[in-house]
Amino acid sequence: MPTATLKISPLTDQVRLARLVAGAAARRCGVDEGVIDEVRLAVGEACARAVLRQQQHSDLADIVVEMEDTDTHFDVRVSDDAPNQPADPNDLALAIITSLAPECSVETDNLGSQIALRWPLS
Amino acid sequence: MDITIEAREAGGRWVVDVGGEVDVHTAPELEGVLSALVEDGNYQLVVDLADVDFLDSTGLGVLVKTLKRVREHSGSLAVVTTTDRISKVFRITGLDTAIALHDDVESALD
Repeated sequence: MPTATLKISPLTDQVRLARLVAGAAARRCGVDEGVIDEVRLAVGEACARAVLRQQQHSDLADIVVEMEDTDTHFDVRVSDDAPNQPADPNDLALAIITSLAPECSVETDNLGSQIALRWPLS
Repeated sequence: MDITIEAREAGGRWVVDVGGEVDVHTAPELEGVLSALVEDGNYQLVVDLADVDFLDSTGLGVLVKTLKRVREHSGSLAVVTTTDRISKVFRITGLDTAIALHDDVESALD
């Protein structure tokens, strides 16, 4: 499956759309059915974090969600372009994300933040 | 999907029945209901999540905030969860040790 990209406005009511699309994409790629809920929750948390970060920034640019099937893994990258902030809006979100995604990285700098998540295909 | 919230008195406590999804968009509505109950002097609360299909960290944050507020008045907050999908969110954040989880409203009211 080629890379799919979803752009959502930085609005809280758009987060549900992103997690549902990620769940559907994960299922389509072959992620274990028992893990699909975890994909939805982790991607939802990442998107919610990005939306809140973007809302704290004056430039309300879209949140970008990229999904990719690499034949062995399902990768999701959630990006915002809100500059670095003194504190993360939700520490619990990061705790949940890192617990649910077998592989996870969080990068933040003055240009924005990206959370990369990876699940193996069954 | 929206959130549904109904509050009722039972066994000397207030039970808040929640349905649907509790996420970054809908959690403020739950916070509003719980906050109103606390401000009215109701400190013994049960939140029933049996009909909740999705719960994220924003929802957890509302529950933690409410727990702190009722504890300031020697009150309590109990939560009913009936699915592993919802219980898991408490477990992976460690909040299952801070918030009393029950299988049904009856045991939460005991």
